[in-house]
Amino acid sequence: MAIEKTTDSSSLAEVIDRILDKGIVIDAYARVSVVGIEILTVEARVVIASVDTWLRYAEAVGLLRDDIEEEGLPQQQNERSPQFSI
Amino acid sequence: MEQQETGIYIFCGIQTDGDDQFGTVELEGTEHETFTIQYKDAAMVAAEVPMKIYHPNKTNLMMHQGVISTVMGKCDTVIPISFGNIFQNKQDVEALLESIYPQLEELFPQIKGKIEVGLKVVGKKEWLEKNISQHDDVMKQKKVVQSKSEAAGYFDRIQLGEMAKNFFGQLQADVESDIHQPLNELAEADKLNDPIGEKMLLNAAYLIDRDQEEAFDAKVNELHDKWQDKVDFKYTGPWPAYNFINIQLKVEQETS
Repeated sequence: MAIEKTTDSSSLAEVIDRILDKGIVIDAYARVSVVGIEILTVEARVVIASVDTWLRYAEAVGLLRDDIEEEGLPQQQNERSPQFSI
Repeated sequence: MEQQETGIYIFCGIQTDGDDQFGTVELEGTEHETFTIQYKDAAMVAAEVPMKIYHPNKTNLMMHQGVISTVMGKCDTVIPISFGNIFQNKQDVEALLESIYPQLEELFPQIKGKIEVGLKVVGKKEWLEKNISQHDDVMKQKKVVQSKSEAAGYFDRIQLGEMAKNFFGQLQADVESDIHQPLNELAEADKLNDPIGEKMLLNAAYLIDRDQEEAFDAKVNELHDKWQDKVDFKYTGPWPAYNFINIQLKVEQETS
């Protein structure tokens, strides 16, 4: 089965992955060091929620399915067990 | 009615002798002619648009990328600029171009005739689950977790999660040596980004010569045939060299 490249314009996720913070990036609240330049720029950083927890890896392979999957993982571990919050 | 103030929105930089036409761009329902602002052999592709903040919604993001795609179709040396930059007037863009020209001059020969392609490799759920079920230590720990109440098993669950993370780390290493390395040999340069989500095992961008595009596609296909029962490939491009150009312009606050 052959796999074709999807073109750059067809995938929003791929576009977002690139055009917000790669290439020539001009800082929102800075002035380029040339006198008189005024620039507007969008505060468009993608905030990727910190989902990088071990528990989510476990969920990804179904290890925690029995007790957790139906209700989804909590946003953060410590929401579930506040007494252990770090 | 009061006339609306306009500004200069910039899309990308190119190397050119001048006289390029890239058509119009539709922005929030209005067509705007694109034009270039030249300095020596460099130019900015720009459009004059109402001066306001443009939000990074789907239409606006695709508008930005759409112009860059058009430019890439006609020009072999394109330097992408991130979304949403709008200047007061052409003189400001000229000043910007002049001030970053030394970097552009250095970049042009490095990206001339090159394109970026992206490859994301994502593990299939069934394969991942089957694979981890063959790890006895993990299965044993899973039983421990299941045998305890949720509160009592808290640390056991954390431990199980750590085992799962190590499992993914091993898979990522396998994919890197088996998929990434052979592709990298065909590429001019590579960039490994952090995986997005747990099941992603590779998030790579490659800078390749246009002449090598077919050979690279063929290699991706060969690797896909080998791995297709285990993982999904998301192969995209051609892009301008987003992952290989990093010019961060930021400067001192204006003091008065």
